[in-house]
Amino acid sequence: MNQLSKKNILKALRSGWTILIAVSIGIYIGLFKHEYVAYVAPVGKIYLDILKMCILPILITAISVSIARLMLAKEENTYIGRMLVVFAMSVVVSGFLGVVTGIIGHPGSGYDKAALASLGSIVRESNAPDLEISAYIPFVAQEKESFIKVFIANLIPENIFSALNTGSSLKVLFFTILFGLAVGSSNKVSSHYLLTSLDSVYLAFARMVHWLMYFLPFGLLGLIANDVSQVGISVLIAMIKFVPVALLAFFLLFILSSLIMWRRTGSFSKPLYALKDPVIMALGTGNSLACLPSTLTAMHEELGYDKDTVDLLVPLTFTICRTGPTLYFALAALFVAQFYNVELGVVGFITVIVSSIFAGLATAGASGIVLLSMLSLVLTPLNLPVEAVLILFIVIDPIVGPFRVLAMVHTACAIVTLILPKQHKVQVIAKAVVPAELNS
Amino acid sequence: MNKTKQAISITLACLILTFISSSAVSANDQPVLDEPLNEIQAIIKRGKLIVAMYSQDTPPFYYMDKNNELTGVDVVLIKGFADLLGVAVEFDRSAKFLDDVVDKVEKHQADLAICKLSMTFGRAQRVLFAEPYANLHQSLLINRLELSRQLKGRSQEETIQNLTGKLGVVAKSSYVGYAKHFKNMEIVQYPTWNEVIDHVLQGDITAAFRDDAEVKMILRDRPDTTLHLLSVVLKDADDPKGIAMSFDHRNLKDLVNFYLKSLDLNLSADKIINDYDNVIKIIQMKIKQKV
Repeated sequence: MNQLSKKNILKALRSGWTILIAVSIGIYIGLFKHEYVAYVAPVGKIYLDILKMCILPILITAISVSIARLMLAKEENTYIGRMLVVFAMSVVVSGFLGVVTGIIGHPGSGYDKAALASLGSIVRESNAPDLEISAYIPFVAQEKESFIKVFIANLIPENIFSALNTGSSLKVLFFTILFGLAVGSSNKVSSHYLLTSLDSVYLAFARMVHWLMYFLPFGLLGLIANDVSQVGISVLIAMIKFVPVALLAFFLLFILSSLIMWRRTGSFSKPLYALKDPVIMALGTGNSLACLPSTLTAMHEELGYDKDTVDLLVPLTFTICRTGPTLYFALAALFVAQFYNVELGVVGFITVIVSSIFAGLATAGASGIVLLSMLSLVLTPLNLPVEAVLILFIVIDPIVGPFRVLAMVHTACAIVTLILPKQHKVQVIAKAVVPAELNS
Repeated sequence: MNKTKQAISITLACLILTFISSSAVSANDQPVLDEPLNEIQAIIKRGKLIVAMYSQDTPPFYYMDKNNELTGVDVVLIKGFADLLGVAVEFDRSAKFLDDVVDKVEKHQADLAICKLSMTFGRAQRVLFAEPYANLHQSLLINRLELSRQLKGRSQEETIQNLTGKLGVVAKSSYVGYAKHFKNMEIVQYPTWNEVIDHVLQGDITAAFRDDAEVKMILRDRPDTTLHLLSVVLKDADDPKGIAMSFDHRNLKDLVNFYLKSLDLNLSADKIINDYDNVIKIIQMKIKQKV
């Protein structure tokens, strides 16, 4: 009896209705009951912190184990080439989609004086002080490092432990891939022991995340209440033309990836339902890595893809294939061009797409303001001003950011289904044969 | 003995002098005075201080308020001076350009000029300036789009120091001269500051050039310009503001200097713009203490 009621409670906590109710309460508190935000916000923060705590161990163990196993299985890695092609195609499509929605939606034109005034006040309130320079002493600028140099500096860790400490996911990824390759290349018994141990670590952390999912309604309530309370209504009204177009663009990307998954899995509703948890996590946390564990579980358990392959491909797609940011940068660049009445033309649009892809790549492992500041990589080649508009994008990001993450996570799953063989003729990639005596 | 002699001779001399001067005055039927009037006495005798002030309102320094009364930092400052002298103030606001104010003082059509007047070498050759009562800085209001077009991989700061294109200034103001600092720019003069702003907003000119108080005022009062205009303060290019008097009014200059020193205001652009009410209050309190 007792057992049954406990089960019921757990089931109720995982139900979609509970989550919907929690989200509604969160929005309500965030909008109208600011006095309660101080009480519920810490719950959200604690929830997100515990979740983040589990991410890096999962990232490291999942990738290194899967690479090592795939190597030990002597599997022909046919999908690495395919992966790169699909990645390239997806970011091009995302950039293109951003430009097209920007052209059709026209979010940056038609701002009257009142709208300009409220946007201007937002920029001024956000502490944009006057620039102070010397009239007589020539300014010596710090030498700018080239994009490649910066990217490599972000990619290769000098010290893996400091990379782990600061949570530089790109550096961790680089290390982990090398580590997995190294472990997989030595077919010794000790390697198998190591893999088994790493797998246990992975399972332990995955288990913790699984437990955490029961508390998701509480975490979501706190996170959403806090997010909503931080966005001023005036900002939303001032950016009323941009925010809906941005959300529409993400929605289009979402639909596109749903269609792809439909073709690849043979069912439209199954992937949608299977990816319920990652979608909720994306909207609730606005952090793509926080969605990693639930995405891995969904892809493996619900959609039936091979665990090792998914464990490798999903984190790679999350960190390298930045569809969401690419789309957003392209759209944002069009917004800025329209705002300043600059005609872009075909060459301009192509510049937007190409530089958005690079800017997206530069956001690998970044989030928040750092991510948004990469917008300058797109605006500078177009000779468009960055600083003032950047503040506007920072201010609306609590609203737009979660949807950007959602689009990216969902597209990442579609990308993985594109890389892997179609599901009706799915052939499970043989796992590394671990000697029986080690398993016992 | 000696002292008595001295006293007697001084008394005699005085008597004779008094006799001569009184007889001279009685001959011309003029008021009894032993010296020609100095400029301060002339003002007191006239009962009013004539102040030349530029015709365009320039808040918060001098402007008509809601009740159609002239007010502002400059107005309060000079009214306080007149109060201490015990005279009224008459503002002559016929000057179409700022340089015309200097002309008026030079030609004795006004006792002094106060209207956020820049102290420049050219003007100082023609009139006297009291010590500056406000220390402002030269400042640019740059069209952001134009600036980003000129960047070409350079930093913002470097680009601004080597700015090209057109530089808008108020006609016949000190900034026509200051603008020569930007060697690669063509200087364009507009009759009013508002016209300069309109043209920089439209992108006809790259930047507008005036003191930091004016530049900061635009961004504060017209937030709709914030996304299009960037304000840049040239921190080592001063623009001291002073009260101008004609060359022969040295006594007046000393008195004005004494007055300003005793007020000890240290006005800056930020202080005047962000703390205007307090600045006015402090000036009025300090004047009251002296009366």
